[in-house]
Amino acid sequence: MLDFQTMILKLQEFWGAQGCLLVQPYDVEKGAGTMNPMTFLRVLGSKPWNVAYVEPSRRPVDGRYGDNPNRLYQHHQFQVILKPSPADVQDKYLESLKILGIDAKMHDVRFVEDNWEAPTLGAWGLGWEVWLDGMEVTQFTYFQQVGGIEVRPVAVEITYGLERLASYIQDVTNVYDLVYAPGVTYGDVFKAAEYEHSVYTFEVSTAERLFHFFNEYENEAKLAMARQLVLPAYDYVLKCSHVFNQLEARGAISVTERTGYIGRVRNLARQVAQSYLATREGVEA
Amino acid sequence: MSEKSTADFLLEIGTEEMPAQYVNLAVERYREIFTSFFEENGLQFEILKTYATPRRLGFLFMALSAHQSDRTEEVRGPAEKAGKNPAGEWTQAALGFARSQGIAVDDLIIRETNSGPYLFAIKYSKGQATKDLLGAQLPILLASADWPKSMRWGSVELKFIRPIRWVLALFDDEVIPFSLAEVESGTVTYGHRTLAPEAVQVGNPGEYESLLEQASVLANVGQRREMIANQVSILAKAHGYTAQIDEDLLDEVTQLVEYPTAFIGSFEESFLAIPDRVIITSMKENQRYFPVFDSKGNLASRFIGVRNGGDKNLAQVVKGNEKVLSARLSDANFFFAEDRKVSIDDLQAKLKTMTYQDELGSVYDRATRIARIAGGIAEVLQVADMVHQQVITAAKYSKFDLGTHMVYEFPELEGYMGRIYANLMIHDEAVGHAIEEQYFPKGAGAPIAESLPGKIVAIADKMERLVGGFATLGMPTGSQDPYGLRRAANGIVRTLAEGSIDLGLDAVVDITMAVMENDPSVHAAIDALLKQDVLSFLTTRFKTWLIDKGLPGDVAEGLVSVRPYAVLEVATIADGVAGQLAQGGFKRLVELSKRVRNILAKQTIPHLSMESVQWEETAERVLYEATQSVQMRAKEALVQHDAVVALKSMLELEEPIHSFFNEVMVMDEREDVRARRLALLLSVQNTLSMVLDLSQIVLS
Repeated sequence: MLDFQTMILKLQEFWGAQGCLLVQPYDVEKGAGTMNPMTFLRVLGSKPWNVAYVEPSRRPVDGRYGDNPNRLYQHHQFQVILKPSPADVQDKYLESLKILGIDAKMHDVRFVEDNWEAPTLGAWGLGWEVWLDGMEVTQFTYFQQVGGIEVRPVAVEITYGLERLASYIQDVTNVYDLVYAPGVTYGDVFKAAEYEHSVYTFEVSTAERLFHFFNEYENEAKLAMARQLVLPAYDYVLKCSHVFNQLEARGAISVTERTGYIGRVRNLARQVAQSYLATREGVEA
Repeated sequence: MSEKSTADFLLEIGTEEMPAQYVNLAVERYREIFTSFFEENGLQFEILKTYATPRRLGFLFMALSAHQSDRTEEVRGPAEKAGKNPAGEWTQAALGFARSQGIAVDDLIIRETNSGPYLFAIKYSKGQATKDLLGAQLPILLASADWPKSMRWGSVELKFIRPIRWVLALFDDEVIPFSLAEVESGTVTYGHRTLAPEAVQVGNPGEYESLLEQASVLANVGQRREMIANQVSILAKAHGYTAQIDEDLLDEVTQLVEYPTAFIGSFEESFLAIPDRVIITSMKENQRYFPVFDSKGNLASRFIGVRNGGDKNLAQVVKGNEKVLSARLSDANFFFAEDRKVSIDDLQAKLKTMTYQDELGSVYDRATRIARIAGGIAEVLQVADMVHQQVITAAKYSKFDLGTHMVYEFPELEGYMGRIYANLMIHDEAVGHAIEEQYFPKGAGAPIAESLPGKIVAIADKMERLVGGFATLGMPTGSQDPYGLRRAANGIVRTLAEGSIDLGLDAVVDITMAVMENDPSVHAAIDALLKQDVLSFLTTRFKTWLIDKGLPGDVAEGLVSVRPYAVLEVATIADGVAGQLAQGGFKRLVELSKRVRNILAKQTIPHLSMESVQWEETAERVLYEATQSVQMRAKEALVQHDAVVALKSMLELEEPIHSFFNEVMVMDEREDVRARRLALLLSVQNTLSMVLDLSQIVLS
């Protein structure tokens, strides 16, 4: 039985051998691996960039107190970025499945249209969700725009949903029953966190203070931007985005206000992206 | 080969998986592009075969001319007197013409034409070998198609549906060399992604299809589609069921696989407690499965999927798919249970937090307006008390299901879930039925609401949308209808006409305007100008509906210009009137009515009673009396809804009008005589227009 941590090690080993730099998760809360600066900023500009990492990703609205077998406050993504996107990227992906014991010949593997858009990041791309015998296990995206800037050359992003994939490989129906390591289940490691974060998100968090945080993080981001300090500014953009997600999960943002908050985060993200290009590559976007 | 006069040309673009709906679109676009290219270049072919899978677009032109003929083309330029000055020198006009044709000015010739001597450019072009022409033009032709959504990849500049990975281009057994998106054309194709991923050499175009079949790819779309349909129905039958094969789903599934194998799976019986359409939607939309039914027509706890591959290890594939569907149905089950834990009024209250449109308030405000409009309509129609109550309740709760988990998850189930939950929560089937029917008709050919409360709520829902939409977004322009306003107007007209609702468009608009005007949550001008716009938009849709139903355009115009708002009445008499007119016999009367219209159009007609007039001329008196009598009989016939009799009675005016024009001078010098003759003509016109405006009829 391939346990959760060995699955991660195998993916790292595989993509490392393909020339990807293996980095560690970024230490600011985020909703997806795409928001890690190793993706969000490094896909910009003309330089080649190949990287792989695990990203714990928080989606407050998906918190279910540890009761739901499929939905989680925090799940794990295995993120691969290849820039420029190579011609054999789909074959490489299928090889990576084989490393995990999934021989595509013996299954039904499909690339089904699924286009990606992240309004808070001013980003979009075209690609697929990968179906393994009907189950979506991976997102595949050719980035067209990030931070409102055309991505040239194009980077391709492969995002494995680790819990989904592991559930398939280990043939379990409840995520908490996954074997994380010999003698340790996923539930042992994360169930308490799922419960506490759900209680906090839906019952305890104070909207008023969160709105205040949002404003202050936004101010701090602007302050850092004024000095062209791209990475510190971006950290606060991520903070804003997470606080926005918390507020939304709390039901504190009306439909009309929503557009406004998304716009504020997007503006900051755009400025950071432009500044990154200007300071790192001397390119005015 | 160079001696052969024709050759077979095969082109295959190999890609990463294209979205299903783009594959057929791409085949059609390129079919047009290539056929018009060959036509423009004077090249003929006998047969075009197309192939398409998610990973390839193939075009096989059989017996294509191998060579273009040499061509001579004559282009006419300016007249000689414009091209040469009196001294016989070329003018600027001649120089410009020669330049535009790419020839030297002294090569222009002068030739006599019907309209005098003109300059001509004679251009010779040597016919090219088709293979060379294709080599040069294919990259341009292939890049010339545009797509609703396209992408870049790697460092390639070309935008396409998905990345291009290989290009196969054969002219008989020779490669046509060119490069597209950094890919060099060649003589190989690739088989099924997992079953036969190796390169396959194609020696000549004729063997393409069978080589692919050996490599587990069925490239012929029709064949693949039929195979899937057969597999699905045979498999269902073998298990004692019938599969429901939706054409759109079949099209989509056909473009999701290169080699189909259908399989049957099952889910827990207990999930059948979830409403059918929820299960079916989840199966179709999320997983692209075909639902199956038992002999009594009940949904079975089975599904049929189609794998992209053969039957190897099929049990494992089935197991995986069952697991996914089971997780989805568990979710649906959870939503169904959660939604029923609260009351209909709790759900209704949630609508207050859902914005409909900034200037139009919340969804709750919208539902409140719909209830008022529906109540207004029910009152005017004087429906029975029970129906009135059903209308009010259904309209009030028309949107409550938008507050449920289920509709949040499956928006296309709005209305349907409203009926299901209303039946469970307030136990009133008529109300549930009307809630579902408010969204009818769902498309151009779809049925309208059946129940009377359903029809009334359907009209109210659409009127609210229409007037709100006009007030905030303005009238829809062009062929686009992003907010569904045109669809709403069509739905109103159809419900009135086909649903036999005797209510004028003006009355419905008045009711709606009054409700919108008095609603404090509406922050947009509801004024007379808006009313005019809405009315004329509805009238136009009404006319279009009549024409779409097969009524001649002039008859529709004539009917609607007389009764612009009386949808039911016009709909009832339209066919009879058109039939009567088509029989002929109205030609002279139509001509005379046009003459009457033209005279009256230029005059101001005084108000004047003709009862005690002493007519001077016989023709005047005869026309007056005939008009009176026809008017009375037409009125009687119309009360009996017999428009044909009314129309036929007008023929009796033909002779009197004719004599009147022959014997009487309308524009008499004496003012009083002129006035009463004009008044008489106006009365004639009004009578002639009692069924339709005859002067609008186009005479052939």
